[in-house]
Amino acid sequence: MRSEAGRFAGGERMRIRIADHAEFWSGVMFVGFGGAFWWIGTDYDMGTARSMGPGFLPMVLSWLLVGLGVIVLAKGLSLGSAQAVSRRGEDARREAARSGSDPWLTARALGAVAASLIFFGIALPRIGLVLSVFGLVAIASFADPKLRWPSVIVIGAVMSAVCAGVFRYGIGLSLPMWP
Amino acid sequence: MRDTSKHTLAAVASAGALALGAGSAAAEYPHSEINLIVPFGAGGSTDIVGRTVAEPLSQRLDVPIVVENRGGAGGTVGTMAAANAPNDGSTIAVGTTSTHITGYLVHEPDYHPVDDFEHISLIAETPYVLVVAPDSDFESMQDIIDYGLENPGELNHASAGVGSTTHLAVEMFKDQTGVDAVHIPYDGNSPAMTAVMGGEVDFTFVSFPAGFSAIDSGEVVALAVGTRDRMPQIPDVPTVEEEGLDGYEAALWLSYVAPAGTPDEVVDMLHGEIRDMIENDEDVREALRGAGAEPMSSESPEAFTQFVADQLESYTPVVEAAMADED
Amino acid sequence: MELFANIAHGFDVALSPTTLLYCFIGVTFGTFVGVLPGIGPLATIGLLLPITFHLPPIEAIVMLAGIYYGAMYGGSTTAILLNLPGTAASLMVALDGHPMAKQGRAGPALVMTTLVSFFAACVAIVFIAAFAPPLARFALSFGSPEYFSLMVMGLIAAAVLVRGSLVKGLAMTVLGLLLGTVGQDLTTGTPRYTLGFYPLYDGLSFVIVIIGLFGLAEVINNLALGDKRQAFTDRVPWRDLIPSRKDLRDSRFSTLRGTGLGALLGILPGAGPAISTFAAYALEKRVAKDPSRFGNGAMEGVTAPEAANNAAAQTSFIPTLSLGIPGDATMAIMLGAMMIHGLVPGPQIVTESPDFFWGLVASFWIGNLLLLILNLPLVGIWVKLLSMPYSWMFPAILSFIAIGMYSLHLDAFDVYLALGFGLLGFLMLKLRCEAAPLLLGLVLAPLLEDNLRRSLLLSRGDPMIFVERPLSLMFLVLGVGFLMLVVGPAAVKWWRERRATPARDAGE
Repeated sequence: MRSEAGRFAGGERMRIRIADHAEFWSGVMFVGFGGAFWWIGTDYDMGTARSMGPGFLPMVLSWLLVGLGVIVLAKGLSLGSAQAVSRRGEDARREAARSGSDPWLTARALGAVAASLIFFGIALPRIGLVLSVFGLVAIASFADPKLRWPSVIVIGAVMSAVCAGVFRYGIGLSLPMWP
Repeated sequence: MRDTSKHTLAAVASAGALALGAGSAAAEYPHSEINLIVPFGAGGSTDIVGRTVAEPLSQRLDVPIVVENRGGAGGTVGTMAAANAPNDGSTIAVGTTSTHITGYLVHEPDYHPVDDFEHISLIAETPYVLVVAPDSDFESMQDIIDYGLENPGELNHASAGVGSTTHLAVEMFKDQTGVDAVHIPYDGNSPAMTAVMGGEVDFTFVSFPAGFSAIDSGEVVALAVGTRDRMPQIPDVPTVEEEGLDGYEAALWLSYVAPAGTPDEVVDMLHGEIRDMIENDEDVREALRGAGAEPMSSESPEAFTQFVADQLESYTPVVEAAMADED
Repeated sequence: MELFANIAHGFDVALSPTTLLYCFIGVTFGTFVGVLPGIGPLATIGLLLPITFHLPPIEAIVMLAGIYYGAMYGGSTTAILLNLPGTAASLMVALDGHPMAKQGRAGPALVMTTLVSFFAACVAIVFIAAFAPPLARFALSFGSPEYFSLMVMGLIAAAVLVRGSLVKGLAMTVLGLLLGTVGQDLTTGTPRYTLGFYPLYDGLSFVIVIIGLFGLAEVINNLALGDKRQAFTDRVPWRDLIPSRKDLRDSRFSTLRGTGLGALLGILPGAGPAISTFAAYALEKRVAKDPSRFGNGAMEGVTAPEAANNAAAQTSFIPTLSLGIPGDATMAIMLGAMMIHGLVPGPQIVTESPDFFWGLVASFWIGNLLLLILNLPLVGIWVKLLSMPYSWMFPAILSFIAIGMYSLHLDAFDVYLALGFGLLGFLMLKLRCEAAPLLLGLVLAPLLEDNLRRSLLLSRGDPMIFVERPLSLMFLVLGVGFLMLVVGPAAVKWWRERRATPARDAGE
């Protein structure tokens, strides 16, 4: 890398920048996970070769993950001419546009799905399956701008009935039905 | 952390109790279905024994008994849930040597085996059996002891996991004989048996229900049983005591318990039905034996509570010694 | 031949009206349960076990076995249609099956899985009938070092087989292995990475992680895409439900290879079925002329793992029946059910209970035939279901996921955990990190660690044990071979490009 940089130093301007965001942030994620597992794992006993302790494998794997993460991260960076960097950046942007999504819709989807499941977890033991499913459907429907209230009520009612039928009476799970 | 999780559980449990309408007067017990928590996976020996008794009990009480398998951490996960379940008789659980003695001592869960339960009755006991491969050079328990004493550190033995009851059975054996063998832990009785069959380890103690079929078919050879008396299913196999280890006893007991605070009437009533069934119902006794367990009941709930307390006291030093060896 | 006489006798037993009825109930129930995410065969068999107490043994076991492979089959259906795999096995089917569904080819994918399942099961059944006892012996020759090396090979195969970069695949595998160490350490009982949550003492449940990373992430992603979401082609004409001649041609050899791998690896207790589907997928990708089709709806990517899965599902009965060693939790229940009925598994079961053994083998075949008859007409219905607007579909998927997760341990914690993995899965989707190797790492981590530790205990600390044993050495060599096959050409290409266009950055 260094030699390349040197070779072209006289010509175009060289800079390091994130060329491929997905690669770069994947690397960051791997390094983050590796670091976290390493940090917590330092508490565990490493043992000996003959009798490995509980800390041995997590330690080895954490280091490996950090190492692999750094490689991925480095691949996401680009050290090269402005032209090369922007070409790669262009590729990545096109890719993002193809699979990309509206930030507002994404936030809505994340929020609604998370809230609906958390509601379900809290509600089921307290108010029973039927109302919990109805509530889950109602909250989750915020994720989809096309869903109107009448449809939500119909879907909620249908799903409550289906779930009660399938899980309680079909399979026989012992779940509370009503408050 | 421990405390928070206990509180959360307690909160969830009390909310559950509210939802179930636990407050309703316990006029005629049992008035609705009973949940039976089996703290081990479905299909294991504890599960089979627990269900074998649950089925006829449900017929006697004329309510369904819903079995809930909640395995994990030597049975302590499910037992913890049982300790925090509604104590109106709607939930009972299977308690064993593992959940109340060894698992409790090894995993240090957030319940106390004596204080946090009403002890209904023992239902059965399953012995540990010393087994070797069919092509093994060892033809008796004494062969293993002789070889082990002459060649310290050379033999390998399996167990169903560190701190499991099979591990304990072997540690007690090694303690009493002075044999020095290397402990190779496996994840459960089946892999431990496979290791013996394949010759990877030299011997192990295996729980009888798990080893029964392999012993019967000659895949492994039983050298001794850990109970005080010989097992009717394998009458030719001597007990460990007969083979020269005085007072050696390695068996797992299984029982029904209820969360602390379950009304006395409920506990007494269940105890009466279970004891009568275990002692007098030949079908139940037959079914238990078929699963490799020996029927056994307690005289009274109080006697059973005392039994648990005694066991806990006598096993504490043994478990501590065994776990100290591992570190 | 005696074998055929035996099989004929088996059909006599299995074709009795009551056996047939219970076989039908089993596969039907199994299929529908398998379709629901999170409710696997294990839970269902556990729930139905008490009912079988009142049945004669052969009927009881035939019904439970029917649920087992019926659920395997149903699992593939949901995996293909909704990207909701419930097991490691159906995960591999989803990798190419779901892209096919998105392209409006759910029909051919489902029909092919049905046909391939049937074929693989038939082959595996002959396998069981002919070789059960010697095969069980073979499984016994697998000690801890062999298992360890097999896992290493499987993991390398998983890392190199995915789309995208090798380094990312390896990193995901390692992350999966790390997640697999969560929970109580088997050897010392030390709780690791549990962060004080008691339910984590038992480790991360595979179903939760897979439903989160695949199912929930997919739902979130679809919702986030809004109108840009790739709509399923609606109104599929009936003609398009049938696989084309090309589909059949494409899957000929992949099915055979998958069946062979599955039948062989299925007899290994514990790891067989999961590894066999990964290995089958990896093998197909390796032998394919154009590996880039994989992950975008390649028929071989569906048929090979499906064949492996079903062959393994059948042959995993071998250690259970002939040694009394259950390979997994489901088999442990089956074993328990047999013992409740006074049947003692072991080599002698073939001679002592010929009615039972051959009847069961024949019922496998009949059960798979029933599955074929049951599922072919259902394919049309499943595909029509896909043309439902997504606005109606996602609340249903979410409800099923929520109930399925809750019912695992009757604990809301599992729902939250699945949600956590759903968010992580969405992030990984955005970062183009393939989740499949992570899941294999998660499944294999405990086995890998235990077998490594046991091997070193047995060898008293000498790592040479892995290369001194021929079987173990063979697996390690194969694993390194896999790695070289991918790294080798890539390194050469990288080097050439670097020399050719030095101005471009070398990290391509």
